[in-house]
Amino acid sequence: MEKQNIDKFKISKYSLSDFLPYGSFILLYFFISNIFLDLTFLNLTPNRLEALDLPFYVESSSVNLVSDIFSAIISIFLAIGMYMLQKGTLSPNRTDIGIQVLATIAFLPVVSYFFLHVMWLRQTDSSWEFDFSLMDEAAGWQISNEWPFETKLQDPRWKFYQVGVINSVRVVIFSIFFSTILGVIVGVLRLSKNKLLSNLAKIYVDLFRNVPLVAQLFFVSVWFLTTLEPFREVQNNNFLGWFYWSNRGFVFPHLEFSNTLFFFLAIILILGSRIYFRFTERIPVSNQNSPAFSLKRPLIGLGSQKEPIVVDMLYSFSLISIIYSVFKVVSWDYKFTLSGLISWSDSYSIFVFSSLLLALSMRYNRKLDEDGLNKFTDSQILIFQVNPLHIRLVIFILSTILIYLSLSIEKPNLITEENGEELSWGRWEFQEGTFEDVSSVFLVLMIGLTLYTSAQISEVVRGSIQALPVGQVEASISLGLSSYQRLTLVILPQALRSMIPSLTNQYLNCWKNSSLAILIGFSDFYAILTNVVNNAGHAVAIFAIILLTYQAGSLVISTIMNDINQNVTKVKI
Amino acid sequence: MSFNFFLLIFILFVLLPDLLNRYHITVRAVQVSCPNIREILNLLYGKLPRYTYSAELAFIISLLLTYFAVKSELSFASYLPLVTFGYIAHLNSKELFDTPSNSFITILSFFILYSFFVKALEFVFIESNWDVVFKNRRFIFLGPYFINPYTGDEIWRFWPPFYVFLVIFCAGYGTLSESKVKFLLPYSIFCLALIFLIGYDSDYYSYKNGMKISNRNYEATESLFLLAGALILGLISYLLMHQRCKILEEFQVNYIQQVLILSSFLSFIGMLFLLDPPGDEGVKPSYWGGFVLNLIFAFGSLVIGFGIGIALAFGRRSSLPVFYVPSVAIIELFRSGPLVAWLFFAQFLVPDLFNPVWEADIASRIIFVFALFFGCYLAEILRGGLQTVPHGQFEAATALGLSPTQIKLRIQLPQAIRTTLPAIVGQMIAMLKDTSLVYFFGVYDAFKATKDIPSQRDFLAEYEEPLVFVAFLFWAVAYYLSRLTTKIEKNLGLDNEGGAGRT
Repeated sequence: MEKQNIDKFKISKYSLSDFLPYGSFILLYFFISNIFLDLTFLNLTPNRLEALDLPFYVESSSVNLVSDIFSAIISIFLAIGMYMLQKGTLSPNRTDIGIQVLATIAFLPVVSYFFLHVMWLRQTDSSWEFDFSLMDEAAGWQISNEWPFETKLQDPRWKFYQVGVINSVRVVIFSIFFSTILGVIVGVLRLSKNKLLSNLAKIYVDLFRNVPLVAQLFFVSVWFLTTLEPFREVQNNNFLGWFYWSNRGFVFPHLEFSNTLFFFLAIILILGSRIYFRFTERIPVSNQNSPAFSLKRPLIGLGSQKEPIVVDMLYSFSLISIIYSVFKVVSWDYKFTLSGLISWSDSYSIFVFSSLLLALSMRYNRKLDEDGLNKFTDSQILIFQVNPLHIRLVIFILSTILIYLSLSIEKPNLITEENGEELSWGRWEFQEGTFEDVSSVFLVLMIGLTLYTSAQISEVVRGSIQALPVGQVEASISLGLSSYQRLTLVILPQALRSMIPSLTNQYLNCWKNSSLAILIGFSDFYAILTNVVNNAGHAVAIFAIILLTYQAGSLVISTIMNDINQNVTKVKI
Repeated sequence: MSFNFFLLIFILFVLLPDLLNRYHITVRAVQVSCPNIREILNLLYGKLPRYTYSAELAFIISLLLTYFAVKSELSFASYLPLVTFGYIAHLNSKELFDTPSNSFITILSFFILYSFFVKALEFVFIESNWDVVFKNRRFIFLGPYFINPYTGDEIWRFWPPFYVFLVIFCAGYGTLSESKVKFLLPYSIFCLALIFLIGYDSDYYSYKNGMKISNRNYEATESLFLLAGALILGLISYLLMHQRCKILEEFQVNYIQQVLILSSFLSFIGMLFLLDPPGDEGVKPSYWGGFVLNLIFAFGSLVIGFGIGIALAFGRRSSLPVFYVPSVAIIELFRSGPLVAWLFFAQFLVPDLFNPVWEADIASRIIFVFALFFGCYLAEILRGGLQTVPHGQFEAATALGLSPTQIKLRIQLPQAIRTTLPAIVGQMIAMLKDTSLVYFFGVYDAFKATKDIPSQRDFLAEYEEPLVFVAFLFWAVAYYLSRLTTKIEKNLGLDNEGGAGRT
């Protein structure tokens, strides 16, 4: 009786329906791998790949036969391997190794095909040459926007790429800033007790979240083109001669620090007084059990008195030198050579070094805050028998006067006539150096991105506010806080903790969505690089530049946001 | 009319009482002359019977009145919406007008809403000429190939998939076992809209020359019969499934739902094969077009991307480097760039890379890239879901003697999908919206159609209406899906139970 049962079991174990899926899978694999192996061996025939120097070659007449044999061998090997694994008699360790070997062999035809095919493409197709030399050549076209610097026809493509990167970064920074503010406002309004107000916010979110960004950009640009009047009407559209607007964009007065000496004096005054006040008001630390030397506090040997002062001075010094270099650095077309990086007189190097120094000193200062060395008295210590508040007031007034003296503002000067003759409106222009302008495509992209991102951010804000426990609100009501205090002191600071990871995601999306600039004619780096591909080919190299730039931007955003996140979540609730 | 009117209301009934209250000024004469807005509402409407409106009904009534006001241009008509608002405000005056600042907010937001609706209604009903959309509706939905007189016969290829999808869709609603009205009302509206779209005024006349240019070989009667058949079949499938699922147990209903989802995936692939069967027959993907093409891209990226995403998610969680390293590389590579960059990849580099194996046209390449992109984002979502599945589930399944594949597909994956379903639908919505990018890469989707319509001789430079219509189509589908997400969250019990909501 028992034996019969076992026999039945054995027969049912190896029925046809068990083998059918595996068999069909192996057959399918055989055909697919045959295709890929065919092409792989085709690339191994003589006189095909120059870069490949193999001791053997496959005759072109026998390619089909060889690939048939190889794919049959691999298929049979796969079938046996799968059977062995299926049986389950191997130890776990060996199973792992077996699975890896099988997977490697199974993917071998595809991988080898891609490897050899890319080699073949690099040999024959110019667009696959991984070569950045074309970026050094002259671009051969011009872009219209002039900030931060103009491009000439003879400029290398790298310079155009720089303009593009700066343009995208500019748009993204502005739209992240505005969309965060707008998103937080809308997200809070969405939860308002007033039903009309919350419905208003709901309509806003539903509208801008569910319409594609492309459509929104089109709408905004259509709206811009129809509501703003054309350039020929620009004489009528101004505000007391200081601001002009037309559908080409907005024109602002030119602002310049013409007298840099006064400006620097003002800044040195402010920063110097900051060091002095921090020095006088710092509470000396008694019985400090000195911790060991660490990389986070390399200046610990100076003692608890001098160390914070030195850090403060470092901070101020690096700020001053950054500002100094910014005023000199505006030659952004810097060449990345090693000798150039080290030269101290060069303003670009000063900029890089001093920003590094600034970051270092800020980090050092935070460490000092943590260790309790930066504690200040609330009581006012008299300096030279004078109330320090008065001294602060005097310094403030002095520096304002200095900055005012150093500033020079110029009214934008619209030139409509030349040598007494009226020019046609096509030749009107603003006088060089008297104006700053914001182009309308920039504004269109910024507004579109802001609206779209703010709708997403408001959902994030709403979600993280709703995730807070009710007790927090009840407690704050019973403490007698007003609704505004409740929001700013209790709810939003706590919601910020769970908000930041999703906010980071939205900022990254905003950075990536800026690539839609190409649709409305704003020259961000993606648009410029696509143009380069259309002109000069080398698609692979350009594609690598595009991906690397986006990745670099994403890394910067996520690093900053991670830093903020660490700061926010440092205090455990 | 009414900005001045609002200003008056502000100053008299909101700002002035507020100021007086704040500075404790008790000028008797002033107080009598400017009472609180709540008192005024009470004075005006106090003796009327209090009908209780639902918010939707009130919204519809005020919208109708606003429409009337916009349309008729009579002076009294523009005050009708204000009167309705006043009455509704009176009914809800405890919530809307309890403090001066709150009534300030109420009136301000009403003003914004009202001006928004007036603008929207003016645009929809008065300023714009919807002929341009209506006469080009088949062009927007299907693209140029299927409405061409010479190649328009191929349009029959859309009918069988339409039947199948409608039946599956209705059956899917039948399994939810909600009340019948909840499905039948929207369904009847959907039916009427479709009948109207297909049947009414089907010929294409040029109103400039007054002569018939072309009816583009379009016979409405045949299509109407086919459509009626499809709609009736959908209704029958809904009713049958509804009746059946009332009796069945929950696990059986779940089984039916799984079968429906799988069959919709299969019928999508069947649809692609019907549109472009192997061989010379059929319509090449580069000839597809219109909004249907956007939907095909979205659904195709979903179907293919789901397979890729599941494989990558398990690969990323695997401890074996053969699976781990490539899947991390692929996921991070695709997530690093925007979709536009990957469409660039599809346009320039994919043909070189695959040329001897797969000679794809641009539409198929775009589906391929969309699927990979969606798969990588899905893999990250699913990885999060898989991490929340407790390890005890794995141990229990191992103890029951399931194989590793069975554990992954039958134990871990369903639980991961359950917790991440809202995020997945969110990614689907994003994907649907992103299909609007493809027009830049030489595919004739709905946005390309809206760009080309203004260059027709009869509709020169009328670029706003088609754009609004297509944006509305995208909005409608995306909004439907996002409503679905909240429903799913509620059904699965995933909605948050925190409550700092009302602040």
